[in-house]
Amino acid sequence: MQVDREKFLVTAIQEPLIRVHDFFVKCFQALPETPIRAVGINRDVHFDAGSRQALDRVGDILAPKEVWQDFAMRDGKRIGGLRSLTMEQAITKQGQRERLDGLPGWIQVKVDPSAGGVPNGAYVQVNDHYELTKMGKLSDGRSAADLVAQKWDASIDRSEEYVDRIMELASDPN
Amino acid sequence: MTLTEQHHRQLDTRYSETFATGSGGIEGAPARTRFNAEVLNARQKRMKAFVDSTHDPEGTSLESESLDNIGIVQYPDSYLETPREIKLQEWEGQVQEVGSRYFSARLVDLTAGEREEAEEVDLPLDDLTESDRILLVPGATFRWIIGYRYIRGEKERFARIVIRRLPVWTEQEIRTADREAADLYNALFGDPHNRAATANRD
Amino acid sequence: MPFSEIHTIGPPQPTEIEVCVFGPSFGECIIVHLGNGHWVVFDSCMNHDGSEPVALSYLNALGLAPASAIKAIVATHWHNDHCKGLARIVGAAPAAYVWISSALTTPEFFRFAKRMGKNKTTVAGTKLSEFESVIDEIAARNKAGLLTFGYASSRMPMVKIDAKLSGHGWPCEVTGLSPSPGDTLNFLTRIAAQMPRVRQTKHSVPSPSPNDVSVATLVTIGPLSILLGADLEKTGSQTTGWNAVIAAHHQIPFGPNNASLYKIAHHGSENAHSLELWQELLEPNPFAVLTPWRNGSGRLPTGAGITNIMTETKRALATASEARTRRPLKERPPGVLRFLRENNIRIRSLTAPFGCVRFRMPNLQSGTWNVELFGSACTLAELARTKEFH
Repeated sequence: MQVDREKFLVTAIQEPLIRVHDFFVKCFQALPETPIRAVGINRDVHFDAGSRQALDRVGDILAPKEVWQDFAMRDGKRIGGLRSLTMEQAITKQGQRERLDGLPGWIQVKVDPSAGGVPNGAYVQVNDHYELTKMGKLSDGRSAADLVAQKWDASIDRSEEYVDRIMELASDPN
Repeated sequence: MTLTEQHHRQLDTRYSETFATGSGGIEGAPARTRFNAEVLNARQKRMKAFVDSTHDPEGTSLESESLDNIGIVQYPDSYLETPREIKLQEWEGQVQEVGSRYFSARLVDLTAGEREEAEEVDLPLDDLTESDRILLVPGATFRWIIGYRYIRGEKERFARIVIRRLPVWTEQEIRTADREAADLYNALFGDPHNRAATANRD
Repeated sequence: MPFSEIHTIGPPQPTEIEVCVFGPSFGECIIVHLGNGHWVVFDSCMNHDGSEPVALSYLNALGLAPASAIKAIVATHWHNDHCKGLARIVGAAPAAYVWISSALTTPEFFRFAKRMGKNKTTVAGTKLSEFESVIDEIAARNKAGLLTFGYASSRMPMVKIDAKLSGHGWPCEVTGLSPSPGDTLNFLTRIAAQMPRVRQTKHSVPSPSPNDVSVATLVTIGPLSILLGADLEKTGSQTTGWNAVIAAHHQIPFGPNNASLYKIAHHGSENAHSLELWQELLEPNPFAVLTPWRNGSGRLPTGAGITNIMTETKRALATASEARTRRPLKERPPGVLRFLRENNIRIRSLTAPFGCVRFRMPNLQSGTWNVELFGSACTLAELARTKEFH
């Protein structure tokens, strides 16, 4: 757990992840008046694609090299590749980003080559973001705890699905 | 998960010299932060444009930060050494009885997407940590995970039992529940004609 | 006989009486044909493949429409794992009277149920969703102006069918024997002690045992009596449990004759064994049937419980025997199965072998029951011989 004046971060690097939910909800049940602007439920995974070819396959599907032409390929050899990709799911309504569930916020999925010491590694991060301010007014710890209690299961299930989809790209289709 | 207060405050010089975050380089690799004042100074000189263009200071992702607010260390040095885990099976269980060496529990198979108890098991007390042993009472809820992990390229199996530290009932939940109960009760029994004394049918 | 044969005999004749006892399967279910197509369902459990409440499966298999066949539903339990599927039966029979233990219709219990319902944090643990769904259904009926629910308690007549309409010319009545006022007080005291409170760590629904709100019933059809013991136990007090029933019977006898068929209370436990019950409410050597129960290392009936029953009757039956069915191992990743094997950890299915005992009386004058066993049903003597009682 790490806390500063701007952020309260709870991380689990070992299963079961539910401990993050339990700790967070219990914390903010005890601190219901804490002013809160936003909550993010993040899931990040480093995975081994299995081989350099498999890792390149992930990058080629997400960023087709035909588009980049001689920027990425020269004389049949790779001279560049995907460094980072972020996709966001949100609908803009009256200048504000809104999730499909109607709440202010977004879901972002980021894919990078892994710098986590994983050979042929890729990194996927899902940021499930909920904006809690309304008309400039901050929300509170009570609401944040309720939100996480309600949204946790669906958020983690959804994030796992997105991670699975990216990991599947590494599989040889033949 | 992360929360961010709206009031961005400038950290004083003493604070910004003590703690540092780094985004790992202009290339934009994921943040691997270090407790290193030199990194902070160098970063402050070269990274402003990069941070502004690639990080969302309003966001809640692990890299989001405002350059005006340098947070404390986000990842411990040991992060790179943390084994990656693959979960094969997860149950949630409720303790039924606690014996001298084993405890019995009923299980919900979460991996199969089930929501009701359909299995039971006896598990050894030795598999719990000391702090969890104290919480092991009939009715306690726990998670049981079996999987494998990679540590420096080596694959090994793991199994873990963790007692859940559950949240509490809040005043709002109790108030809402009581209101719903009263509304339902009044809807059903408010009218004295609804109290059937006999059932003369046919 | 296999379950597939259960419907081949066809539905009972209008003049026939039938009692079917199903279980165990997260509960038990008793379905009674009073005559002339009038059925009463007591509690609920799922059928052998878990797809549907067994009461609905059985009636459909006999070619009967539950909506018109079921005249009353009596709920003697409030925990999901003792009455699974009850809400679906209530929904399938909108014209049927629903009888709930009076203790479950108090403001205190409503408050308890709603507070417990705010605990959505855990997946494991018993739920109250069946009870909540039944109440929701009743509330909807109430809103539509349908008066089809009542409170079951001692001496409450729940079903009455006039002799002219019964098909066999005898009047029929289903009467509650419990809970007594003492039972209700015990229940509410326990609920008050376990009521969720502000800042208290969320906990699961507490164990229903003892089931203070259990509704034991007496079914009388002319000269015939059938005693359904539900989960009622014998307590130390004269104002609760079977003692209260016997005391009430001494004041004003229940029913014209002693019962010739007894659904044994509380899975044949020693706590539910009352000598006075066998001597004063039952014929000598009656037919008796129980549904076995299991929770962890706990088993009912125990060997002593079986001995008690077989001392009172030689015609005792059980709806299931563990020895009769092997359940296949659940499919899991090889790594998981290997781990379990290497560590000598055995995961047991809670789904017990399932069976049914059916009693039919073609002729009320003869007073003779024809008995059939389906699925893993067996005699109590056979159950006693299985390894768990050694």
